[in-house]
Amino acid sequence: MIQQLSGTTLWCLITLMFASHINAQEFELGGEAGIEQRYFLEDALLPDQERTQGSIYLQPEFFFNWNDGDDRLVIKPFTRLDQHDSERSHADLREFHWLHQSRDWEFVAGISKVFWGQTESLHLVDIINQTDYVEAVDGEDKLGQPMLNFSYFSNYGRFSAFVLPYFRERTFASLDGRVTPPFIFDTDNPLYASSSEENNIDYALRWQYTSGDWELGFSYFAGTNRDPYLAEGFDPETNRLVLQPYYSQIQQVGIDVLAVVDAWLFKVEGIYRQDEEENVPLALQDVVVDTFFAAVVGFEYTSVGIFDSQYDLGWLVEYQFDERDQTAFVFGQNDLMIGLRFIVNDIDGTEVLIGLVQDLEDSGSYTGFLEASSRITDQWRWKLDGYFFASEQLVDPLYFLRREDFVQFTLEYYF
Amino acid sequence: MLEWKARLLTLGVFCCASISSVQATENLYAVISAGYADSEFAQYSGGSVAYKLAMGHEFHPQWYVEGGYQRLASDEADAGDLLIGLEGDALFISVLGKASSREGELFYRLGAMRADLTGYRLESSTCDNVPCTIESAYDDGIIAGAVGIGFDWYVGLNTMVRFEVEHISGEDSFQSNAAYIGFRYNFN
Repeated sequence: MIQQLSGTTLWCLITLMFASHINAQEFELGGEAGIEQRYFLEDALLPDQERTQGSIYLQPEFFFNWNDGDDRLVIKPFTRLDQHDSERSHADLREFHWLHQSRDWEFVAGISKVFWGQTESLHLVDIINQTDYVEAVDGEDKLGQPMLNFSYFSNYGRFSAFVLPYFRERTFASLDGRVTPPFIFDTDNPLYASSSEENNIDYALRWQYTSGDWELGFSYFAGTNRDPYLAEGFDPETNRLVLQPYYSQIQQVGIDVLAVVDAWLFKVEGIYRQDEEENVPLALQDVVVDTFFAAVVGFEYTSVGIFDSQYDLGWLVEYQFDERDQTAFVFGQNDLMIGLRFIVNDIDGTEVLIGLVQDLEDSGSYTGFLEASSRITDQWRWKLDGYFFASEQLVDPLYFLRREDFVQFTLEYYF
Repeated sequence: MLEWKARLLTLGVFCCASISSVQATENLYAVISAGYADSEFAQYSGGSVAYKLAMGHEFHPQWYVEGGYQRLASDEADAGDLLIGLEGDALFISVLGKASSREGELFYRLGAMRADLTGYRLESSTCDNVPCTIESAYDDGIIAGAVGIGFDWYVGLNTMVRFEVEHISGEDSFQSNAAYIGFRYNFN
């Protein structure tokens, strides 16, 4: 959240951005706003949780271009107001950075978003930005990350280096919200392996190479783990279980590959992570692992013009592997995702994606999802999403979401 | 069993809404309505505020398909008498037959919904080995049908005001009669 950024860090970034002489020649204003309604299909676990959850959001975008477009200031604040969940009502600076572009290099200073990866069902390699977990259950919404980023473009690919001076904590829904385990997350008192806590300086390197039908990425990250471990505690005031996030110090190497062969897309993501195991809370001594490997491997095959129609049908299969035991944010130890993508090929860009992620070691544990969207006009767009969870084992993290099946309709307005 | 029926209807509503929308997204509208609903369920009989949020699509010159969320009842249980309370939410899908004029559109509605109703009901029990009745909380999912009639009146190029009355009848003797006034926006 904006409030979480230390004043010093924010002022440093703002000063840096305005340090160079800005002679604004071009100003652009855009953005989106929307209304969203969730409907939960099962009775809530907790008495204060509601069957429905409505919210509105606003994400304006401001761009200043100068120096013939070589320099650009980008400001993208975001805010959501939720009907029931005080934690989901939040504001964030998704982006607030200065970008300087040259012929073969670029430099970014400020708050920005970076995505790495290729697969559909899981994003193992993507590590720069923290997940804004109150926004969406798929973890694809990210918080803005303060950074200095230098990229060099050559015939051998794009080389990028990142310095990340401030860590963003993961967001969690309150007990008045839904799609959350029935426990209190003590986000006011997070634990850190680093003595510098959220001010620990993280680093990352990436090489990305595109050649014909191949895309290849290698990445290295050293710093604060974006995935928290959750240390169990007890809150005497509420007599409830409390989960305290613990952010360890890690080093991670990652690889992501995309290969296009005719109508086939082959996708791979893999990571090897080493945990420094410093200042580990007692409650997590047996949970934090020193090293592990995880990967997602799969393909997407697209049948163009099925039954001689304008429609395309994509078949998606991905296998998820992870050496870690099941913890709060580790779902895919030995799981298979099967999905269908229905592409209408109309002017509105209509698409429907439906899928199932099945735990291959427990037939009763699976997740279903449906994502559909289309433009209505140049300004309006609708989205229809559904998520369905099933689990019968208490040790399965999905068990605490077993009654959180929901459908969600969003009406978006672009300006 | 009932839960699965409700789930299937919900998924049916969901898929129908998706498929009807992906055929073409022309002639879409959004409508928000609020009104008063008089409902009966279990031992409850009373009235409260009700509202709907819906999207509609013209799939034929004389027909709309409309789907959305509906707040059926907002009468929170009274601590003094728990039976005087009913809260209900629903996902619905309807077809609307319509007749158009320069002033607006007269329509009738035929729909189905999956409704979730919460409140308290009297149930037989034993108190100190003596048969008795107790007030027990419920959270029931039911299937219901809806019929209605209304008029969408043009107030602008893309905007209309909706007047509607609706009757809902469902499983476990759920009944609701409601009157709404709403705002409709035609996207194209």
